[in-house]
Amino acid sequence: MKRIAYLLCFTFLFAACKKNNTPEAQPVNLGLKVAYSIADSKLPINSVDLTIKNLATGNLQQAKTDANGEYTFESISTGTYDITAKITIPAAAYTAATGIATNTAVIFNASVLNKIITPDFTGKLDLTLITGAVSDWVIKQVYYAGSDVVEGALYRDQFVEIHNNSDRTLYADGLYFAELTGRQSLTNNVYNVLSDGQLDWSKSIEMPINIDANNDYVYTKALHMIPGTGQQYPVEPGKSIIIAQTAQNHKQPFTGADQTSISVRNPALTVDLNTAQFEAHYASYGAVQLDSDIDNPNSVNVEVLQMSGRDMIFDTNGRTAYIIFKINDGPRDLKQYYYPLKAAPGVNDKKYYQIPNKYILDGVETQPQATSARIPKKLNANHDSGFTFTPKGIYSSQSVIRKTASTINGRVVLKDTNNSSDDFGVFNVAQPWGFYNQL
Amino acid sequence: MRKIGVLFLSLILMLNAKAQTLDSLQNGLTNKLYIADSITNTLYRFYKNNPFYLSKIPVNFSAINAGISFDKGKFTTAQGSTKTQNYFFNTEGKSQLGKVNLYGSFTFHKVFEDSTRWAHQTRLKTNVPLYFGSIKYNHYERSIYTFKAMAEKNILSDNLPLNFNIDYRIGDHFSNNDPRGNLKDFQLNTNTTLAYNFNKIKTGISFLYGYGRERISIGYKNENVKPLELINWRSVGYGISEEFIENSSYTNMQNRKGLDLHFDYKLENQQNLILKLSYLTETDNYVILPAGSNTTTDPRNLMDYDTKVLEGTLFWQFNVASRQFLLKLGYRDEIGKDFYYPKGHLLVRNPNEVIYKYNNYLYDLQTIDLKLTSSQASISKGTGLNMFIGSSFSKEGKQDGSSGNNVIYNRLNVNGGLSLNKQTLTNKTYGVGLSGTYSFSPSTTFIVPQINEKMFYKYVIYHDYLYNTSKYMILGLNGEYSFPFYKTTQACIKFNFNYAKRIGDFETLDRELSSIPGKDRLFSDFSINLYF
Repeated sequence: MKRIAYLLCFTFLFAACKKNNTPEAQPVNLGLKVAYSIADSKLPINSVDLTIKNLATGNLQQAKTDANGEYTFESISTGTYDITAKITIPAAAYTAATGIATNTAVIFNASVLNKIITPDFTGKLDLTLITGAVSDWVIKQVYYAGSDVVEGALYRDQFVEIHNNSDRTLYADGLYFAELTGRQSLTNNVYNVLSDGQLDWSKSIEMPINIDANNDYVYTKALHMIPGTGQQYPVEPGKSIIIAQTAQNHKQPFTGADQTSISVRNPALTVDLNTAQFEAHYASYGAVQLDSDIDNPNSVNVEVLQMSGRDMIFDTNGRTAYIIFKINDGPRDLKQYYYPLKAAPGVNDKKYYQIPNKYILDGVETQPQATSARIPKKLNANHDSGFTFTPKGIYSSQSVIRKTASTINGRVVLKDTNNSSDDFGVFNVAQPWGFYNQL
Repeated sequence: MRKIGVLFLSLILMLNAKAQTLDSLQNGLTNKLYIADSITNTLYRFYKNNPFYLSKIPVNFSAINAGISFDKGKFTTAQGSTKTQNYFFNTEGKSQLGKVNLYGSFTFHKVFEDSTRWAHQTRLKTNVPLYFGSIKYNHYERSIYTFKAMAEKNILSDNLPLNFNIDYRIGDHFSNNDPRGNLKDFQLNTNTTLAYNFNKIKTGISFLYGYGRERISIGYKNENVKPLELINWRSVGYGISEEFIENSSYTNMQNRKGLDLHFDYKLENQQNLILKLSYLTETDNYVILPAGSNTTTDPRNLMDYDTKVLEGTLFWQFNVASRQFLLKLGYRDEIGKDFYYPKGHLLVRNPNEVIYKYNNYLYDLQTIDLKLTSSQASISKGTGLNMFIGSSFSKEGKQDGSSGNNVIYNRLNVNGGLSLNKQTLTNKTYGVGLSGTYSFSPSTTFIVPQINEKMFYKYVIYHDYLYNTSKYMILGLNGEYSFPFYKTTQACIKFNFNYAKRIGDFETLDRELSSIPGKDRLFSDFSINLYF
């Protein structure tokens, strides 16, 4: 029995080995500090709204800054976050602080998106508040997702809607509409890239060295312009115009370029664009004609300055930013550059228009709905500090639609804080000329 | 790999055939009784998984088993199946070729899991911290083939047994609902054992080496319809669940090595003492390939997971009067530790890429079990009695560092049972048994900060808290009937029913719950067995 007792003791000693049992990763304290881009600003730094969103869990946490413009979110899980700051300065306070007269409140935004907070994070993250351009023109609705590939109209029913957000009649003549390009997939390694994964345009061949190619410009993959003599296409206050890929009633059959009927099985999934004011007829500009790219004589054709496909086909996954701009101070002298390839451009590589940020009237960044599919942003925070997306994703019939801020004497004023995460909602089925939540 | 499987199968069938031809007088009834006795059955299951003890398996033992097991009920963990049908076929046997002992087995399982959620896994190792899943229950079909072959030669006047064992498994798993999983796995394990016979003690050392791979692909048939319950989530650690709806695939490459120490001490009067101590290390390397990306340049490391297992088993076989006893004491300590790459890390490194890697998840499982089994061959004419009483304690901990989650579940089980076997003069046998288990959780640690709460918490963590803190009892009934069949073969029909029922209410948990366990679960199996 003594031997057995020894063996049992040995077994328990063997079993009693203990180990360190604390993970290296621990919840961290995320300190934020906001400041204005304007040096020596007298604008208030306390009560700035801070929001952090954990991209893995979707959890939102909100707080306000203290008198020093600081706040610390305590014991948050490590991971990837969208971090945003926002403050609305009343008109009088803004004028008092800056001496710049204004009748409307001024909104300042800051954002750091897709930020990885690692277990060794310490210190504070700086956020620089900037005020965006508040324009008379705003992008109201973008229908990029398209409708079901079997039951709906695929992508041929896509459109963009542009709204006169001012209190006076504007003229759409000479208004540019562009789709921006950038890093569409993080798995492609043929480009020179920045630390956030976006293309490093400063490395493009022939790019001037005396400009900030990444921060002062954006780059287009498709560029269109509304024609006109200057006052040919008036848009009343609170009204909007639509640029359709194909200005047809997609709910009903119509005859395609090959003289066969184009129809949908479920008209409820698509839209009637027969009365769209403008359309993109790529066949007129030398594109190999899509059967659906037919010309509606009642819809004005936009000028196509750059095309990325056989029609004005938006990326149905949402990996695009959209801008509208006007060039008031000179002729069209836009430069074009290659992607910042690691290797020398080949004969099949194309050039892309470089648009100065100062020309941009409004911009909207869209992203795929899946967090894991997010790509680096293309727009700076002063044009869109956030992004929007269609929750149901590709071919869902959904569109992103700018929210209504107010209605003044029947004129609808849309929300424009230069943060599409706040400014936009979603239509489950796109509604040309519709309003998200009319007040 | 398929060729290896065919080779194994041929070898095993050959072994069984050999066992029959070598001893035409082999009595199937003897082998049947060997399995029926609760002590020898317990030891046999231990022996066949530990080549050191191959010599203790009766020569020319052969069996063929086929049957179905059926489990149903929602009293289970959040990621468990609520309805499982498992059809199985198994053949195994030991034979002798000259001075070489040979053992082989082949097992096939066809499993239908009608309700898998939050875990697209091969189920090979369910505590790993990286997997995919959806909220909706998902039907899974699994085909699993396992092969085992063992050979032992005793040299130096039968004092130095050398043993080599090889295990091979291939599995194919798929679901036919979105998100559709297509999982394939294989495992190859070897065990090389060197032993030495002293006077009353046999001692030995086993070297374990193995590797395997799991390939997981997930896709959607209905690309455009992804309601919330069909969305695919990537679960990392025990707290992070990331929406990940794209088609995706990843590979888990596994490597393991270990060491076993064996002591077999012969006491007097057919008494015996067996001690096995083992240590195993295993690594899981997860590599993901984003949908549509380049298979050569784009694979990314997603996680490394290291497991260390320390195990000890002690058997003490002794007699008191005409009654045989077996005392089993078991201990197991398993530690898992991950290294997570939150943004992935290219296998082919991009010089501009900043690498993030840290340990986020810790898993710790400790179990101790104690069981005393007694067997009396004949309490009256032709009637045998088996009884057992036992207790086990387990402590399972999961920590997710980045979300601050730390849960530890302790569980104590007490069980007992008895069975009667009767053998007639015509070599027919009858058996019936009853068993009971009472299980409860003496203490729990549950630190789950609500600040990071999301879908995974409401469906999995809270559900598992309720399950792991509940009391329950299991009542079991089993029976068998065997009869001589075709010359030297003994055929046996067995059934087994176990009914688990929760006792009392769940513990109070002041959180929003999206899923709670049910009240009961039935486990049953029915099999036809041939011993020859």
